[in-house]
Amino acid sequence: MENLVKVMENLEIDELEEIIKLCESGIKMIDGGDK
Amino acid sequence: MGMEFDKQLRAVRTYDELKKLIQDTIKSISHYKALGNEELLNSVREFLQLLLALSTYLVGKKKDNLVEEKISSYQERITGLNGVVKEISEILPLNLDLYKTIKLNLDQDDNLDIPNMNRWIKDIINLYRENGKVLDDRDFTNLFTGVNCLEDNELVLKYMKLFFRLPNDLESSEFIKFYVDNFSDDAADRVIDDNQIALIINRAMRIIYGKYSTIFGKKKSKINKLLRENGFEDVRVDIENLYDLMSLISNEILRLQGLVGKTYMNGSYNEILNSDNYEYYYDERRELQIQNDILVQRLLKMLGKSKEQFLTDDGLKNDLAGIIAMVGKIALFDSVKDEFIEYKEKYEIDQVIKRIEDLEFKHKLALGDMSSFMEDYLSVVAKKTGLMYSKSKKDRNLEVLDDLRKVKVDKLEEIEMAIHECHKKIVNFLEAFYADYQVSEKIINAGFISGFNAQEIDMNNPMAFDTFSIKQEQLSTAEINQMDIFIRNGIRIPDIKTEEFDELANLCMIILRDEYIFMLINIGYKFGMDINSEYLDRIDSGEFDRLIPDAVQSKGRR
Repeated sequence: MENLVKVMENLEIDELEEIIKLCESGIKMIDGGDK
Repeated sequence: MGMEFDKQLRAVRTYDELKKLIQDTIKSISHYKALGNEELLNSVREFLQLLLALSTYLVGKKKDNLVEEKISSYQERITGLNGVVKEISEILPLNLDLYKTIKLNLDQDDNLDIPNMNRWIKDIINLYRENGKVLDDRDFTNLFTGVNCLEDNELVLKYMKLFFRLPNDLESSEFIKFYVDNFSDDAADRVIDDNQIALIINRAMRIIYGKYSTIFGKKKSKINKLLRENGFEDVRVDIENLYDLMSLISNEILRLQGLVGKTYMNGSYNEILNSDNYEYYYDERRELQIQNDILVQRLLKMLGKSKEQFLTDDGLKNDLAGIIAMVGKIALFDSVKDEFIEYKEKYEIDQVIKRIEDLEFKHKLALGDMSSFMEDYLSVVAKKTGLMYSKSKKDRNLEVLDDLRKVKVDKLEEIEMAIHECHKKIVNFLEAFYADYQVSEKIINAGFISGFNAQEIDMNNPMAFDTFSIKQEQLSTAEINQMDIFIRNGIRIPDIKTEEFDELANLCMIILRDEYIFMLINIGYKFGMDINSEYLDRIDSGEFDRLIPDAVQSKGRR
């Protein structure tokens, strides 16, 4: 995890925002299927 | 999500690798779903939620940094521009209000009546004197050349002679007499209304400026250099544009201050508070705000105010920041008081203060003397000549009186200069004290934005600047409690030597020390303005107690 945090700390804002979008779509996929 | 995944996660070094890992993980979701493997799906969700929280937090942090970088670049510019203002004020060391009057390009719209025109002239003459050139009526002799200049030359000289004769009686009826003597009844009114004399004198002042402008040369080039360094590449300082230049700089400072506030308020703080991911975001700022609201609540209790009183009393809301700063200031001064007294003795400041008081008294007497002298003088001027009182006798009398007047004017100027020197001594003393005892650092640490700054002393009246700095005996509880801000809010400050005061001051210092609040005060934030009754109940019920900083519990403030 430490390594991952370091990588993420060095990302640009738009890259982090892209990660946010991906994570949100992934979570939606999992939860969407549950409903 | 097993060993292989952990291995891949550890191997991630770049954005592309991380993105690919997330995309691959997402691709596997439908596969896990098909298998009905809830455990794996939960692990994936946990992993994605963790990344989401971390990314949201980092975006917020980075945006905050950007906001702060932007703000500090604005603040750097403001500091630079304040430096320019300071340099300009050194050209005009006595009275900053002169910016409004010193203008070497009057126009008809300036519409100066006689007293105002005389004040304008006096300001310019003082400006030269402050910078080493004493003007007298000889400087206004035969200034204009060319066709039809004789009349103008004569008018300027006559008027300036009159002016130099009555330097402290700018509203004298002698000035009206000047118009009556030189123009017909009809013309005199028009000449006054149209600013005609002022405009001719203005032309004269421009010629004089051309002659003596070198006395401002060194300071002007310093200011021009500073202007270039602070983004005003195309602007050049000149005495005649000082007023416009000051407006330009002040507007720019105001614009930048506005940008600081706007940037802060539009920063990521609000954005994140409103964001759906808020629950994942470790909201440091929100906690700070709550912390401060709790501290303000505690402070109100210490000041004997109930929350109901606070909620309904707009005056108290408006004054709260001032009260906090004032208590902090008293405590801060108390902490350097012993050194201050020692320093005051070293610089013999009590004697300087005493001397200012003596000089001010002498100045008052000299002014009274001058005014009764001028009455006698003018009666001699008005006295008709004839057989009993010849013109030559009158001239001789006037000559004697003129000499006497000069002595009186010199005496007045001498006293004014001596007062100015004393004021300078006090400013120097305060600057030295601040530097030697790191008062400024203590002030910054305590979160004070303005005041307590030797540079900001009103040169005309440094005594009014900061009574604490000058008269330490005013730190008695009785004196403190006589201060307007405490009286109008019905607040009694405990004696500064008691533990009760220490606790109060400690609390104020903690509130002031916080960087966030420091910024808010800077943009005009008023403490507790957003606090409502429901929120206060939540604070009272202890909902936020975990946020109270440990420092509040500790006793003492130094």
